[in-house]
Amino acid sequence: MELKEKSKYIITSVRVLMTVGIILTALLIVQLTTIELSFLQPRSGEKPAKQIKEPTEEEKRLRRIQYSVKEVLPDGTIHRLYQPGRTLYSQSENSAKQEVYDTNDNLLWQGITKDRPYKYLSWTASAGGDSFNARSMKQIQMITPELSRTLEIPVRSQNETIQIWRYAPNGEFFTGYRAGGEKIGYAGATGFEDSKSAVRPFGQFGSFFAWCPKESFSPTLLWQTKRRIYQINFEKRKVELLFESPDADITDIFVYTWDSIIGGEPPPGYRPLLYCRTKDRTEDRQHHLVMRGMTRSLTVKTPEEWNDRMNSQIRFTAFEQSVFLYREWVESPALPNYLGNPRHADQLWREYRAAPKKRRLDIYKVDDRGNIELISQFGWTDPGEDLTDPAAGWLSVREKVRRCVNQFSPPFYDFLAYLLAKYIWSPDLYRSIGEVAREIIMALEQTRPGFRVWNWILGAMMVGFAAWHGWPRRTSRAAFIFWLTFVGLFNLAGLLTYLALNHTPIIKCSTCGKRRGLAQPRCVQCGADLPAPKPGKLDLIFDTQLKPTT
Amino acid sequence: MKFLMLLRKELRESLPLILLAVIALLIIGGIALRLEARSVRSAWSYSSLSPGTTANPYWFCQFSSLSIAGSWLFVISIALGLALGVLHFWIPHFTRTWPFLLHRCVGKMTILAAKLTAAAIGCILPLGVVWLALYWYACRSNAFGIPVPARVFIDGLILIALGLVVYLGTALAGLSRVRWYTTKIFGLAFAALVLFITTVQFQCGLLRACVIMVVSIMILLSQVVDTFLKREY
Repeated sequence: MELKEKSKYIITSVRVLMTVGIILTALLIVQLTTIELSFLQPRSGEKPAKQIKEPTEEEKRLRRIQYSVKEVLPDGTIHRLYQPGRTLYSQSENSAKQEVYDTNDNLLWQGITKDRPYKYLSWTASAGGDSFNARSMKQIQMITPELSRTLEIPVRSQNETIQIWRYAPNGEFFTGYRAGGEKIGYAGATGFEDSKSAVRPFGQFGSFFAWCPKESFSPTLLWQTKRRIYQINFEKRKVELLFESPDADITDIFVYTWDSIIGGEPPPGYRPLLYCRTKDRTEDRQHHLVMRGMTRSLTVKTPEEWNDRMNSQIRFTAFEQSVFLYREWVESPALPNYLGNPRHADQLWREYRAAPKKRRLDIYKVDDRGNIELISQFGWTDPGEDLTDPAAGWLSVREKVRRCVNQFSPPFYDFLAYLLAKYIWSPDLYRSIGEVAREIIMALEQTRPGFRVWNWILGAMMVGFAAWHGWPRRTSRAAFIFWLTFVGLFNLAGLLTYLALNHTPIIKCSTCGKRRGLAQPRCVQCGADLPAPKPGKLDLIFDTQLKPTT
Repeated sequence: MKFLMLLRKELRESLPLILLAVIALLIIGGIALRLEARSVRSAWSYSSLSPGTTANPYWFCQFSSLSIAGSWLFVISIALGLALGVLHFWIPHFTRTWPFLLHRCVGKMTILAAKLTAAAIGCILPLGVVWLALYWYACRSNAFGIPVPARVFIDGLILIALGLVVYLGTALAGLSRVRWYTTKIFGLAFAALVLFITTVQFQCGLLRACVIMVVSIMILLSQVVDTFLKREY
């Protein structure tokens, strides 16, 4: 095939891809906008009020348990703290009324929260909104109209910045400058160096958070990489390796009173504690503790079945001479397996939410070797969500609109979603893939037709229309079949693309009287040529067989 | 020879727009840099740090001193691409001067190549030189504290190249003979999509941005060449 022929096909393919890409993007915007607008509930004064029946004593008791905060005394005793009229997710206020129950639902105390006589254990917490992770690092390196940003850690004295240490993401080390611009050194895994060749990279960035120690205006960093945790003090030019995991990647870190980070001054009796979780290639999770003054970390030996429980919460604290482990988890029912059933995943998720759940809270003591010993436990049943609630009704309206709108999506979205089901429904895999892939998968999941008959019916109608439109205009059988297949695969976007690139004028054939396109020299019905124009009086080019008129 | 003459002609016609863009960037970028130099940005950026408190990590994410100049570079680059595209491909259609250009003793491809080369030179070279000058000033002067990282300069080059993408999109829209409410504006829509992907969405790092730009330029260029050669004037 000549180069010209090849380039013709390449250019045509590129044109088709470009057109369908733009139309698919426009369709996605329209679909997502329609779905989200349906979430706006119109105000209606005529809506009948929901009849609220008075709860029974048992229901009141279950609600009290469901909405109470579970706290633990230093001896391992579990108490339930309940604020009448509040739900689980509301913040408790010191001036609010509070009731304290034991695990047998006996009322132990009631009064104003600030007068409560019990002192409960405080636990490690994630740095949460105060942490800066790998995703944040990518975000600041985005090319925006205001260009990309850099991470710069200052060394300050009172109100003046005397040094700035800038992080180089490619080299994974810091470069130091004096305030006037002069380079002063580098900071890496082995510490502070004078030359670039001597510095060693910290490793693939994971997260960091920062605080200013007492009597210092310069921040100290807790810097987490894929396998290590460092503490970096730029003012004192010190890099301290706190933890290293040789075989598994660090997934999360939690701290409690680590050098006054959280909660200000550490309460008496507590030891600064760093808790980090790791996960290796076999998905085996481990829990490691680092305490101030310890020469090496403590690996807590947890049962293997804990790895299978996705919806459990584990926290630690080091109080006086003991280390406590807090584990709250759902005993039953187990999370449904969405991976093998993507079509009914929505239904499975609704059923799971509506089902009552048996929850457990276990408190363990951890010894010096990392062995755990159960010291107290508490179990209760959370009633399932009421999906007939009007608030849940909003979701069903949105769901109906989504189903309607998605019938115009390409049917192959469903096949793609089926292939990518393991990423959609597995949180760990979802977090591990790149940002682009995650966005595409989210859009796919929101707009796929869901293997519904209406999508196929609409697709067939569009293919029929494309066949009726394309039959008189066809230039070759292959092109005709290609476009029909294309419309079938891409549904509305395919039909619009076909019309955009193939809507050409048609005329009536002078021989057979049927419709025909102008791209072919011969009529596709009867094979007749295009009619030649009749020569007019002023035409300069004459047919030699005609006699000129005198 | 004919190509060079046509190139000179196109550059001569594009010169006012290019000069306008260069002067605008020089003045606005220069003013923005002077304002950055006088501001106490670095001081108040860290003013929330006090002993014994946690620090919000985002306080340490700093824009460079060229960030304001960079945003103007983005606007000017796109405006220049749009203006050159209109000048080269829309105005000849409105003024019906295509036949005067096409019926010379040069091939259509030569004419198109001259226009595209003039646009590439006009979009990239002058703005690139001004951007280099601004970057050099930001690095050399002691008024900005620490020098600007090299990555910022490359970001600016990417923003300049986006102007070329907009030019090609405008050219494709101008050459298209279909109705405006069908696919005429698809060239511009595609350029807008590329702008959106590169600068707003998908956390485009440097390598990804370069790949997207190269691919989009090749797509638009192929469409422009094909449309120009097949179109009736």
